[in-house]
Amino acid sequence: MRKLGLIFWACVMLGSLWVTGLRFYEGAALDTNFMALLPEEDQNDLSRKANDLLKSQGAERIVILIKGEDFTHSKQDALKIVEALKPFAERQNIRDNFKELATALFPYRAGLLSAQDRDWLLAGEGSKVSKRALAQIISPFGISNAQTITQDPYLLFPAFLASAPPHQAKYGDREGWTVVQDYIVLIFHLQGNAFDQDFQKGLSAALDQVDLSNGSQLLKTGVVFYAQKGAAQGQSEATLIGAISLIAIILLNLVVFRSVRPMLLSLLTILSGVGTGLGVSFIVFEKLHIMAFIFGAGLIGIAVDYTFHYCCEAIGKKGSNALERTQTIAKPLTLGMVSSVIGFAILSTAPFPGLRQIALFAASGLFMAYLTVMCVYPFIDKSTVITHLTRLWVPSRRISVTVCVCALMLGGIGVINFHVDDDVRRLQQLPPDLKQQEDQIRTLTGVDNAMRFLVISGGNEEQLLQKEEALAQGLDQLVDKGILGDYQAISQFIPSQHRQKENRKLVARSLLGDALVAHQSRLGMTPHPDVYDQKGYMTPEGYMADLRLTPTLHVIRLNALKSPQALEDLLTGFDGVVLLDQARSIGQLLGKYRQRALVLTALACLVVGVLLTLRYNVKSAVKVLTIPVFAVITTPFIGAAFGESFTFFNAMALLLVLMIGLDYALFSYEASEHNQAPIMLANGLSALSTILAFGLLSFSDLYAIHAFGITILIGILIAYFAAPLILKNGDI
Amino acid sequence: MQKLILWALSLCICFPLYAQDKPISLKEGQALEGYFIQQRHLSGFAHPIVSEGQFYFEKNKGLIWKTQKPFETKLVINADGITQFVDDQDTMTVSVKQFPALETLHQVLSLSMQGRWQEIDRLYGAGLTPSGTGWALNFQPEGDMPIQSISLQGDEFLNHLIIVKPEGDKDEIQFHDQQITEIK
Repeated sequence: MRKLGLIFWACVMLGSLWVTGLRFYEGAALDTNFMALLPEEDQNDLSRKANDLLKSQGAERIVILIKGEDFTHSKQDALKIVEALKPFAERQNIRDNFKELATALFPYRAGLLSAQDRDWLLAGEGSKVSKRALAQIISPFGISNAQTITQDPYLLFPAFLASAPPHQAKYGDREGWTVVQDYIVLIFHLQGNAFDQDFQKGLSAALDQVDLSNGSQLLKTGVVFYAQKGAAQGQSEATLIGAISLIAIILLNLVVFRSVRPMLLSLLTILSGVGTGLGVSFIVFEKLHIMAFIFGAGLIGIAVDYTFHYCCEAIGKKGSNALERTQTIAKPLTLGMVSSVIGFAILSTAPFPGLRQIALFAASGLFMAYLTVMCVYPFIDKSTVITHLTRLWVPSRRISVTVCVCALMLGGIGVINFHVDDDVRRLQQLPPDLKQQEDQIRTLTGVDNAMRFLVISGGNEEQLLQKEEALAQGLDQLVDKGILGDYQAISQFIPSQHRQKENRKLVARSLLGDALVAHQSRLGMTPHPDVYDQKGYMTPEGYMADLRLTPTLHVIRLNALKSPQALEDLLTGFDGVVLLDQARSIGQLLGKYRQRALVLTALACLVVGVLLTLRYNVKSAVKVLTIPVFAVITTPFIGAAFGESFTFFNAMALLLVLMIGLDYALFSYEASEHNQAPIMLANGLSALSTILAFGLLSFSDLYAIHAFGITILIGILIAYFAAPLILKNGDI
Repeated sequence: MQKLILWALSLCICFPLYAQDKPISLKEGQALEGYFIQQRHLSGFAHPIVSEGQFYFEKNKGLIWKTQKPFETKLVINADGITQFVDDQDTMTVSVKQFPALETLHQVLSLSMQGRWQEIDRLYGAGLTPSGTGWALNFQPEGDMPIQSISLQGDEFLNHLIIVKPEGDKDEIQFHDQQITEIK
């Protein structure tokens, strides 16, 4: 049986190493986008589709603002940047796009009216339009030239463009460059994946190497910069924590056992666990989330327990051998492993893409760590008794009780302080320097980053445009009331055919025929009665791609929305229009899944309880479970006493507290009276290594990782000190 | 006698310089007002479009251009852009950002009406040159501008302004009966 296990172990290891090696050779991408952890099931199809499209659109864009000492320097710098980024990103000229659109629109001018002209014509006041145009034409420094006046004597088109949405107006044009105040605005479309680390590095290096003129100021923003910082930070933290935790385990082994062998055994177990976790995850998933990696560090904490317990079995036992040791620890070890795997299996039922990875990583890794101890150690470990550990310190019952009472008291204080926090901005905390640049860019360009959109769907594009036009009336009212800053919609530039047709009719009714001849004569023009005779209608095909996700899915971008409720009220009565408020909806999701994580933890408790009852009896099962459950319940409140808020990530970490705590409890419960000291030592060693690793996690700037670390730190401390309370006969 | 002739000759040569009027400069709290006649020559049009009216200028408010013929309209041009009023109703606003050439126009008009010629020289590299009994200034704005050239002529005040567009359109403005007043 053990031989079979060994063969299986060897095959899995080889396979895992091969797959992992292959993936890293191919340049396996680590997913650092915390949003990838979130479930997708709760968004309706429309929002999800729009969300995906907007996300990829946003991720593929970078915005750079550059200002030199004077415009000549700004231009030189801008050229250098464009040149340096050429292999990575293509420059897009917003103004060019706008000019292109304007040129395309001009032939359809009879159907394009500014709101004011339209109102006048609806009221039958064509003379006002005529007078407005004449005033423009006779005014000095007139911006209309002879050609425009000849083709559009009422200057309908310039009036239409002048009523363009404000964000377009914020940008100016200077010598062919898009400018805002003294900055040149450069917008790039990435030619690679914003989450690909090699691409991120290349792009950043290219930008850093641009030799800007003295005194130049550069502002940049883009998902790629945030992703790079996030990836770099996440990875360096995971690496650091992994390394420190490994060193701690090595030192602990050397100091306690005064032998290299236990250390090598620990490393083998960890390597088997993490290697298999990686390998299995890479077989199932294309990319591995950074949180799965971090959780992997937690896995070391459990896997190494097995080795510690195995090694401690040799303390003071003459004639001890590997096979005997594995047999002694088999019962609690198997129970612990099975419980943990069940826990992770339950975790995997949550529809979180990232959490499924974590569950698979942990479950497969733990199983392999178990297999290593049970099936590999007997073949490779020839060590016998450990004699030097004669005086072992174990926490006395008094210490255990004191810690538990303290935990209860702190938890009591925490109850008052306890607060949940689902604000997504904490979760995806942005590096301050990048955040500041983004804020500056937002102030300058007037485009806010709150990412609030109206998603509009319909059977065909014409229906969409008509719906937008109907919505625009309500939106204009909100703008007038100051509830909404402004908004951008396709129909503001490209009205529906219905609207274009209507406008043409209005123009024909009041402005053509004799009226046109009279108007042209007043200008001293030879009458051309056919200047507004246009065929066909302008359609959005090929234009305004940032708002036109598909022909049947448009978005309206909302800036500075003060009351989402007022907007929701407006939307009642509109079919197929949803408000997409990413921060709000993700916050709601986080809240929902924070609750779900707690339910999952409770469910895991229940299942483990049933398992323990089958193995022991109800009373014993309750006794064993009391320890981890006590830790799980008190931890969030103790955290609250120290000002920690309770987030989705704290809730997730509680599951790990349950699993590790259960191990301590199982070994304590199973310890025979003469064997309690070595088992407590093993528990202590494993708690120490886990605390070292997770204590460090709690210093992370990434909120999710910090929350995770601090929860485990508190939970493990409590579980470790509480575990001796269920030792047989109580006293040691 | 020879000396007398030389003296008379040198007097003749120097006379034009003395005869030239120096352009005024507006002081703090002063405004300039007067009348204008404008001819817009649009290429392909048989006749120029003629308009006339009154103007008022002060540094902070900018230039207020009240056309009286062929009908009444008002135009305000300042650092932000142009706003046009017909029958006291705002019928058109164009910001400098929408139409950057407005910045050049506003700057040239504002500085020349205030008599800040050195700044025009600094910004556009064009200085005053003597012309008749007055002075003249010609320059071509650099860059991608819908203005080909701007010519100014004047004595004590700016009297004549010509703006030529690349398409061949030309705006010609004559100013008359100008006076300095207190800010209204």
